[in-house]
Amino acid sequence: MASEGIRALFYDGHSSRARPVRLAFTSSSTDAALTIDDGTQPHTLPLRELRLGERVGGTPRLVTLPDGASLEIQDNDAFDAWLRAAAVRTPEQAVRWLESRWQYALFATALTVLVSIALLRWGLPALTTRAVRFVPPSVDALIARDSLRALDLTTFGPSQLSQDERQHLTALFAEVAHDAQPPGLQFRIEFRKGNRVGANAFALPSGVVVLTDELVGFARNDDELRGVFAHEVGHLRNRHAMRMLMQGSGSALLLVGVFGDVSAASSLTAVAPTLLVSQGYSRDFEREADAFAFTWLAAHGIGPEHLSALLRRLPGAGSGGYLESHPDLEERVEAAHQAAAPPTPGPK
Amino acid sequence: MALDGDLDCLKLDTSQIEDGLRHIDRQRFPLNYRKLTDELARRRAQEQATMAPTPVRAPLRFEFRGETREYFRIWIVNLALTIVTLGVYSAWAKVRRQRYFHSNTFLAGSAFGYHADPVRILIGRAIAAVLVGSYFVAVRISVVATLAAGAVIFLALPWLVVKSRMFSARVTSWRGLRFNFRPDYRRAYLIFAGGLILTILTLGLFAPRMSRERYRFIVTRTSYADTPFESDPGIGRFYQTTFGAIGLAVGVGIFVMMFMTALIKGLDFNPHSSHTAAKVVPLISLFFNYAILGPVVLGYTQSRNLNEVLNHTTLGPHAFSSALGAQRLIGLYLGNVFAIVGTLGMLTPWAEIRLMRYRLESVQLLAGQSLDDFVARAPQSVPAAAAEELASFLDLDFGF
Repeated sequence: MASEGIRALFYDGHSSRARPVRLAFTSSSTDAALTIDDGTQPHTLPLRELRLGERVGGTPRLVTLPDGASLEIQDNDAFDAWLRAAAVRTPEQAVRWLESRWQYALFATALTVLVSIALLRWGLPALTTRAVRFVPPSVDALIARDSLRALDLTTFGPSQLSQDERQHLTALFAEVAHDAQPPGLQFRIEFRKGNRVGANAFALPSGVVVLTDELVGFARNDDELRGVFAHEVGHLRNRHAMRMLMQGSGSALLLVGVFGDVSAASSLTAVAPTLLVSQGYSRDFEREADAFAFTWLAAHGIGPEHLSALLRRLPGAGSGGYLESHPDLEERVEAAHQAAAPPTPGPK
Repeated sequence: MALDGDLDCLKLDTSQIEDGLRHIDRQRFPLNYRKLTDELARRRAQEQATMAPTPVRAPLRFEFRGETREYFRIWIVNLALTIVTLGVYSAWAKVRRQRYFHSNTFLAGSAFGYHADPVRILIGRAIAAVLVGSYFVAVRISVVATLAAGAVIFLALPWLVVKSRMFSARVTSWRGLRFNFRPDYRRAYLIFAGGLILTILTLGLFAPRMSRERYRFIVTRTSYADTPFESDPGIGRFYQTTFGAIGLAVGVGIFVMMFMTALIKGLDFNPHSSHTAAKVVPLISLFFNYAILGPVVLGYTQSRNLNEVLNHTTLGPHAFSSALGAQRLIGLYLGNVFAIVGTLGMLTPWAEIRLMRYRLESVQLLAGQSLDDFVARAPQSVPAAAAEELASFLDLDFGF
């Protein structure tokens, strides 16, 4: 057997026998060729008839011969040096170059972090804001179609409000809802006893705003309730449920792409960021709903302090924390005061 | 009359060469004489080379040559390319990652090969993403849609398992020969759908049996070249492991509950307590489920089940031995979760490499004879990648 040349293992494709062979390259005037010497009968194949497998890191290169036999290269550096010298392109050349240098790895790290943050923070919300226009509002009603029924079974009780109170509140709600309704969708109000969820109001994607008796109890005047209605209508008007569905699925897809290949035990790495990201989105939506409410209140000559006064009075108001899905109360009240302040600086 | 030098030694068997050497006229045919002696020397050397390391039931270790630093660069560059191309490159990234792990695994001096086509994986990923996406939409829409989607998944699951195993086996090679998975849909439905129903009806008592049948199905339908794997793990061991796992889970649960009670009491000294505790407690329990309970139960059951299966698995004249330690595997899983979460994913390559190394290097092949004697008649076609991609989205992992 020739002792010179590049070492490789030869597999015939029919049996699992590994035959040690030596490889030599010859460059004729027309074509580069590879000579395989198994110690008996060297045979030569033109390089273009060989299929060069991809290398990743230090793994050996597999070379497939036309008859289904294959070579597993053992002296890979020498083999690759010859390929370079013969100007033979391998499929993985470009990405392999990037993978082999620490400066590119560092750059890739920075790029990954920045692009992920940018995509999650701005890219996805911007995309869904546009995409949502192509989905008719009637589709929103399909999301969580059964959610009011489910909440009735698990949480809510029947409202204790009198018929007069209901009529009065329905009229107040109609004031706010009237201009905001998209064509073909009617916003309406439902009254429930909140029980476990206490003083609260919910906007369901089907265009229903649920108001709990407890919240009505905390309100001191109609303007405060108008503020609450305007906030909830802001959620409906801006189609937050549909956008949340889109952004949630988009971010989950992105995060599975990043962490997806990690073993089953590490699912937390995908769950925790998804949770944090969706909490972030719902904070954005709360701010957007607030902004809608303040604009509506201002347009109807009602001070934004009415909404903040009610928010401040609710039990559990106080420390917010990062994971709170509602923005910190102080921040919202501050936003209310900013909305209240005249646009040009001057004495109040 | 033959000319000197045109003798083809490969057509002769060793005894013919020896015979020829005794009778040849060295003066007349010097080139033929040279050829015969060289060929005989080569065959003897090869015989020694192949026979020496593989005497009867010689243990051969699987060797893993991946390195953390090298893999980190590969991982992060492919991740960046995936994100910048909005996921399109992910198919190529998957192939490179699989190649890295396959071709760094060596048995008897030869590396494994991974041959999936990235374009087909991309198509498979797109189909799987649409299906998984519509499932999530169904869940949001209504209870009826969720139930319908659940039923579809339940009915498709056995088929998915078979298709995904076919794909992964047929794109894997060793010494130029592919692995294969021979589909048996009837048995797949019997085990994966029927077994699940039986498990529910028996309130879980059938679960260990189902787990055994699942492993057995996957192993015995797999073959290397034309040689099928055979496996007959004991059922008693699976029952022991299941009861052990329940005990462990209860133990960890009690510990977590005590910890939480202490934590809630501690938080109560805070004036804003009820609010903070209400938010913190569900998060901590979620964390404990994923970060403590999951790794402990998974590490325990996986090490014991895999040992039991592999120690009763044969491939032709060869056998396997597996010595995964439950404590080591639990330790690896726990360490990996904390390392990955603590570094926001940056230690993922380190976690993957050390897990792979431990799992591979705990397994030995007990060679019954030379490893040169496997044969393959015809190569098998590789099925579409959609099932494989869907299976990996759904986390259908059998711990192999």
